[in-house]
Amino acid sequence: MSRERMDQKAIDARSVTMATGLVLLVTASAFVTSWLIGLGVQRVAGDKMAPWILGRSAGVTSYLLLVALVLLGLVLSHPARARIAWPSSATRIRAHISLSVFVLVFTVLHIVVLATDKYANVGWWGAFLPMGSQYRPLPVTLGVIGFYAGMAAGLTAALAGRIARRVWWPVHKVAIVSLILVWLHGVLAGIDTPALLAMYVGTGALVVGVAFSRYTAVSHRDQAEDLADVRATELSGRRADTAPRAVVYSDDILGSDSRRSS
Amino acid sequence: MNHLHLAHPHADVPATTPLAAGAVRMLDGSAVLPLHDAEQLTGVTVHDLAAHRALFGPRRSYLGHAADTLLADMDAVELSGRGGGHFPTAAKWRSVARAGAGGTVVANAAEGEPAIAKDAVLLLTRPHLVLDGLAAAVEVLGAREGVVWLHDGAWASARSVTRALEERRHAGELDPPIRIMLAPARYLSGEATGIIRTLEGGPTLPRWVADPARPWSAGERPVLVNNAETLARAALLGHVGAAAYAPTSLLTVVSDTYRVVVEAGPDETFGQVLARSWRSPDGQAPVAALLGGYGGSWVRWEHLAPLPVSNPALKPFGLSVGAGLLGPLPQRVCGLEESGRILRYLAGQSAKQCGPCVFGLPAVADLVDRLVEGRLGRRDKHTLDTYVREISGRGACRHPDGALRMLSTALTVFADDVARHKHGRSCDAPLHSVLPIPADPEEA
Repeated sequence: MSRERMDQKAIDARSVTMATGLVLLVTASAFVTSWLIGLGVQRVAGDKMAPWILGRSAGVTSYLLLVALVLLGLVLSHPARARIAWPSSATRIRAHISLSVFVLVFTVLHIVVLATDKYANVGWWGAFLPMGSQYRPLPVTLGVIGFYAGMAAGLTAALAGRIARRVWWPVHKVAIVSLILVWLHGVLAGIDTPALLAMYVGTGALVVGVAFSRYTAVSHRDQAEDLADVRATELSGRRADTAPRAVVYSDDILGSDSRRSS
Repeated sequence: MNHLHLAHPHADVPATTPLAAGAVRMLDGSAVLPLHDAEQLTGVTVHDLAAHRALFGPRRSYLGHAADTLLADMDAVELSGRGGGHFPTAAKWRSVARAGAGGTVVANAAEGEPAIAKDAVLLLTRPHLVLDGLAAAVEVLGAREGVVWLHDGAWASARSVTRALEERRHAGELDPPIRIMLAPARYLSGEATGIIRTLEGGPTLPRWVADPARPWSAGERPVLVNNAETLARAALLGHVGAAAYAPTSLLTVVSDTYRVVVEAGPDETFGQVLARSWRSPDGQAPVAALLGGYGGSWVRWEHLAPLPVSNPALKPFGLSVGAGLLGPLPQRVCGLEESGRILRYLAGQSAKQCGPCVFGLPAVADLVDRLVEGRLGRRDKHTLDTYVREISGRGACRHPDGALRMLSTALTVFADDVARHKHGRSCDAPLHSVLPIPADPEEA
């Protein structure tokens, strides 16, 4: 048997192991989730506050998933991403896509529950139209716009590969606007305990830190620009009288040590 | 992952073909020069204008039908581009001529390859042959001017060409306007699309072209980029005719402390060339050799030694003289580590423009480092194969393709070293490295 076939067999065996593991994991998490939901229903059954609690917990869950989604997005586009060995780039992009689905699910739950809850005083208008809510109109509006921005980011990414990158990629970046609005939405409407305040401050600082690292790191475009700045120079000789000016002179030819090194 | 049909010991080895009686070679000896620059060159007579004209007579004008004769001669001897691509030169000239007159012809002597010195040797010892060829190309194509393209720091070549241009001006030679340009001292400064971009006012970085077989500018002012050796050969062909032209190759053979540029013909095998140009550190034959350039192919020496130095003869084996590097690997040097160093250097020399090159080459270099250190898992092996497969052919220029060809052939040719490293046993041979790699100016 050739070495390549042996490698192939090893890969097949590994994917079977991984698939089995995944199924067991999903089953286990389904049990745990059912148990938690059952516990929650028992706690709030018959309680007028049940929809409110459900709506708010869905909101907090959705926010945390969104933070994870944006963090992973920043890692995916980080100039140093090729140096990150684990998880692999394929796993990172799969996790990014899967997370977006769960963000959507919990956001929808959050919206539906609070829109239908008479006690919350938000209503369908408030859930989808800016300033349409009776309850804390400004914070709710921030959440509404944040939801639309998130939808724009998600839909354009879903079209990635079908439409040009220069079209979807700039739109996809509104994801960061979405997170900022959702963060304000949470801070303005949802910090009734110190624990929640700490959560918002902590996660916000984490995202700012990772974003700072991603946007200040030297990208390959910066490096290409540095290379492009070193121009060819004319040494001597006779040039054709009517030839176009072909060389851009640059003082930068000796200035390589003044440029950013990486 | 290896697409090369490597010469098998039992396969039919093509025979050497004798040169015609009275065939005229370019050099009168082998040039010996240091590893890192072209100063203090010995072994080849320097031909000034008087010596050059005494040998070949006055420069011929190619303004009329003489152009057709030269193109026909180029077809007859199958003159091909010596920058490494070996594209048929006459076809390239005809295509540029169709794009219109008034353009620029570039004699490309920016040898980004750290080990190769054939163009430097030509400019130092046969500057007038290169300039004759450049003038011929300008006239044949109806171009406006010629450019000698050197890299920054090639001062010996720059001095020689400046002096040669002065000599021609004093002698009243009727040359087209020729100027010297200095490209940034980088591996990719000799890449043709980058040169064209520079002449159009842009940076000296490769750009994407729709048809990689046509890397010349077909704008209003066409730009023809030919390697300096190619132009020198065109000039020689014009002077002596197809019958007396010797279809030789200029090989740069790398020894431990010096380089030798030899003119090898199809009448010689690589084994014979090595015997007269290489100093073995241990008196033994090399294990393998890197052929063509740093983006070339590693070949086991017992396979390469009996082959003639001739591109048509090498082609069936998936090999090419390329830009003329012959880098023998002595017995006591680890080929895998050597390849890892070259790959790391090539990855660093990316123009940073295309993702597959910017991210792919360093990632592959990291994996090779892990392989050398014996930390490469099964999964990494699979990743390495995937990268090599997926990066090739996806850059604007051929830089990543060459780097990965070198690596792929190394993994096959040095399979024993690979196996040793994989099992964590250190290679028994890492005495020293042989192929020169320039110091990173940013680290210095």
